[in-house]
Parts: sequence; structure tokens; C-alpha cells
Amino acid sequence: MIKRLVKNAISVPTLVVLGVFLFSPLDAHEETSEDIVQPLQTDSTSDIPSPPARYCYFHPPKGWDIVDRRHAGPQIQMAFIKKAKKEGFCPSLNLAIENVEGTLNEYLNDVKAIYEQDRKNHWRKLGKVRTHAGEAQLTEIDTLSALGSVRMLQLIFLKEGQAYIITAAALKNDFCRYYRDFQDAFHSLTVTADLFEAIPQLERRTALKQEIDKLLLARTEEEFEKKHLPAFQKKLEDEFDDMGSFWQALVLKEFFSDFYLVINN
Amino acid sequence: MKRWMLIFTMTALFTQGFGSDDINQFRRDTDALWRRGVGAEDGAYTALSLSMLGWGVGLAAGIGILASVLHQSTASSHTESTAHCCD
Repeated sequence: MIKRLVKNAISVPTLVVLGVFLFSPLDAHEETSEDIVQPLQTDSTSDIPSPPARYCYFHPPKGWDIVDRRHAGPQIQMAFIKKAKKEGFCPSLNLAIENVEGTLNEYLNDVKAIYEQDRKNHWRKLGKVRTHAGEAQLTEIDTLSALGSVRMLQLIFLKEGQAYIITAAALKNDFCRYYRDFQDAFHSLTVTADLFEAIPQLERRTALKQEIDKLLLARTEEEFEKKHLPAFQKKLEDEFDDMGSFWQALVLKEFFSDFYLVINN
Repeated sequence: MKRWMLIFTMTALFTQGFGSDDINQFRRDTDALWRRGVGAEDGAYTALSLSMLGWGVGLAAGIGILASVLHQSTASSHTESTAHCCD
């Protein structure tokens, strides 16, 4: 009986159908890369945004220091801190970029939900702020820290699938002192495809491009890193002071990362 | 018997095909929802931690902004090649 069943079952058409069943669906899905969905990654660096096709920066207040990238979270592009004369809470500013889907309101609702998970936080929507990049939403987060009550202002700007978020933090009691600095930073938010375009004078723009071209030619020289690059940096700091240290750092990053890859190759 | 086998196989074939599509879509949606807002969260977390650390924070001083840029360049090239955390 069993032999007969097996014989009947394992006929040529059955084997063909079984073959199709076993191999086709899986292969089809493996071959179409668009269909592959990456599993939710727990590694925090998986959220590091890929180098943006657009550049985003703001003008940090004069005298604020750029923080070593190792102290910032994975989404942070650049962070600045105002070192106080004595130990304690130092006001800070940072820019985060996140790839997002959906509208600004949907994004704000998600952000609100995240903050409200912690009862110490008090989140509220403030209003719209006009920036160089466009109209952005200002929000406020009050929270408690070991050093006292902290107020954070968060400016959120959505453009073409990316959220640009400037976060400013200071002690609630000191907030008025830095409010102007924070407002200026918010208003100066710029999103551009061309870093040089932001330079208002054509002559300066051209001069900088020429300088960079010259440096690119000299990058194979031995003293490039010790002499040419620091000299270029100094020039950038002195002659393009009006562009702010964030912009200067972006120019160097754009230029220097290229140099770094050349060295490694 | 053959007929049953054929019906079973065809049903399984279609179920698997459509099922995996649904799961993929569901995972895609869930991932998007899960991730939305992390930029703002990261911004607030970094702002708070940097401000709290204050004097203890390492600055890109000395050689100005270059140190910071250097680190960012190396960090991004590490990320691209190994997808490992260096922070």
C-alpha cells in the first residue's frame, strides 16, 4: 500500500511542481535586492546617516568650541559648547540629521511620544521660525538634571525626506542669557547643495575655489599635512570668519576626507 | 492523491509568495515608525550629556577644527567599510 502511494506520489509532474515550490519563491526574493528588508539593527551606528547630498549648517555663536565627534551621538553632524568659567552646566548646540518619511506633523507626534515616555520631560510645540533654509518648527523640552532644571529648544526642519534638527540646551535659570545666541543659530540654518554658493562675494568664492584646487594638486607632497593644510585652515578661519566655524569645518571635511582616502589608498 | 498533492503544492506556493510580501511590507513600515524621531532624541541626549559633562568634554582645540574633522573623516570611512561603532 505504502509503496503504491509513494510510487503514485513521486511522479514526474509532482517532482516538477515540488521543485518549483522549493526553489522559485526564495530565489526570486533573494535576487531582487529592492525586496530585501534589513532586520532592525540594534547597533546604534546603523542609524548614522550616510553623507548628505546636501550640506546643512548654522552659525554657532562666536567663541563656542566644536566638540570632539566622539562625544556626540550617532545622528549628530556637529556639536558646539560654550565653556563656562567655572565647572557646571555648559550651554550647547548641535545639529542632527535623520532620514524620515512622512510629514512634519507626523514627525512631531513621534518626537512628542518619545519625550513623553519620561515623566521628567515636558515637551511643547512653540511656533514657526523663519530660517535661511525655510520655515521650521520650534519645540521646547524642559527636563531635570543633576545640575538643575534644563531647558532645551529644538528646531525641526523637514526637507525632501530629511529632518534637520538643531538642539540648544542651557540651564533654565541661565536660558535668557543665551536666548539671543540660540535664536541667531536657528535663523542661520542653511541647507545647500553647494558650500561655496553661500559665500556672498563672487571674488571670495572664486579665490577659495582656486586655493582648494591648488591644494588638491599639492596633496601628494610630503609637507602637505604639516604645512599646507594648517595654512589653509588658518586662512579659512581668518578670511571666512563671517561664514562661521560650522561652515569652515564642513569645507575642511569635504576637502580633507578626500585627502584622507587618498592617503589610505 | 496526485491531485491533492498538486492542490497542496500550489496553495503553499502562493501562500508563501504573498505571505512574505506582507511580512516585508510590515517590517518596512515598522522599521520606519521605530526609527522616526531618533534624530531629535539623539540631539536632546547629546545636548544634555555634553552640557552636563561641561569641562570634561574633549574639544577639537589645539589644532582648531581640524581634529574634529579628522575624526569625522575616519569615523565615516570606518562606518562605510565595517559598519562598526567607534563612538
